[in-house]
Amino acid sequence: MTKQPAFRKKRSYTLPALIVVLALIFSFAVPARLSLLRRAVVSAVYPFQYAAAVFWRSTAELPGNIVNIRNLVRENSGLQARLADAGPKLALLDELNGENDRLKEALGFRAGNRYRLKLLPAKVIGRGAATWNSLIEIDRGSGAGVRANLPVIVAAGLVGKVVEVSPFSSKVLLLTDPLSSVAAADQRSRANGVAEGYAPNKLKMKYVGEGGGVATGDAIVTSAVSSLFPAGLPLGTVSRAVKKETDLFYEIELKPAVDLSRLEEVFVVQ
Amino acid sequence: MRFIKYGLYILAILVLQTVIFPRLNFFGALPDLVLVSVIAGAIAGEALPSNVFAAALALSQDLLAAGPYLNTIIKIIVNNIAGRLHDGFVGDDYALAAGLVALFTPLQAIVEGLIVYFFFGRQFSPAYFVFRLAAETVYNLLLLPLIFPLVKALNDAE
Repeated sequence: MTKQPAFRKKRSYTLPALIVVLALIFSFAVPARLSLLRRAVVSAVYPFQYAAAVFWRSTAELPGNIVNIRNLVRENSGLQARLADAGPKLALLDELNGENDRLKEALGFRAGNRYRLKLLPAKVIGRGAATWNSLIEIDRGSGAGVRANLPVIVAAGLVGKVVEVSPFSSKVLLLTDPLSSVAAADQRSRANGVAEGYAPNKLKMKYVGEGGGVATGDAIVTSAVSSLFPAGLPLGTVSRAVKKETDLFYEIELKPAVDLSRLEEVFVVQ
Repeated sequence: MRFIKYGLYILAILVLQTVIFPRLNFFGALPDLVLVSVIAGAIAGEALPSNVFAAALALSQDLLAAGPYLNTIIKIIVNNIAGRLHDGFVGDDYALAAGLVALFTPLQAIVEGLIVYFFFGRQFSPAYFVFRLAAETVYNLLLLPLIFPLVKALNDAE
């Protein structure tokens, strides 16, 4: 027979009720939302998360690395031969590059901001602990110059924005989170709207009215009206665009440009 | 000693939840190790320690996420319902834990979904939401055989 503690029947509602009330107050009434405690906990857990992420990466890559060693030896000798040929070509490219810059200047061409982004590389070490929102955690924090609201990108396009910063790490809200919204534009028709998270592999573009001219297959990029994100960063491709006669706006679904489920390295735009 | 053991357990759960399981996600669906641990703690432990355990675990989960302290609220309530059900339950503890995981995993997701929809005014894919309910419930049930004995051993060792 299982031994029952004598006070099991005397469950009190006081402590749980107090904790729930405190959580409600911290959630909606306290402006800083315990930001100091948040930063302390995130910083305390960070070394363990980093170690676990490194361990996971090395474990996951080990079988592939063993298989690749033989190929790498062959590839290395081939690359060394090509490197010897590449020296003179590189010198020529440098010359052409300089000439290109001079000609652009002569034509009064001003390089857009997107070509002069200052990028801070970061590794993805984890994900937000809650299952209901889509966050990733990166290994760069305020110590590396990361601030809240900075955009995070990869080569394929926009990933999201920084929402919380700790000394050694930061949390990034992914584009696909239902709470994420980005000013967006159709690259072809220049119709403007707002891209919001809908599902892990789907975005919705809202507020594109009649005459927007959005069609399936169009590339959607960040809009120039956005104050947070540089214009022209790829957001996704239109997978469905319909407008019923009774609707004011198009119903547009986007396939994200970036596979957000497999992020390992990202760049913070500073 | 007790605090160190619980502290290590909470740390391990948080690292698994944020680093390892996201890489083993099933079409974006993740297990909620904290929910499973809270239910196991409510059934295997006594009232006061299980409340403190649930509060510490869920608050840490919220601190490692962003936004409101939803997990703290939900998991404290789940812990107390599970504890009260256990007080009047005659039968196998593990079966009760499995039943509660199967009940509370979708219930928690529904509450979170309602808050996102009504409180934050945002839409999400209903099809994916239903898939997530099912996938997370299965995931949590698969992890219960690992977590329940561990939490029970933590409590029994006191």
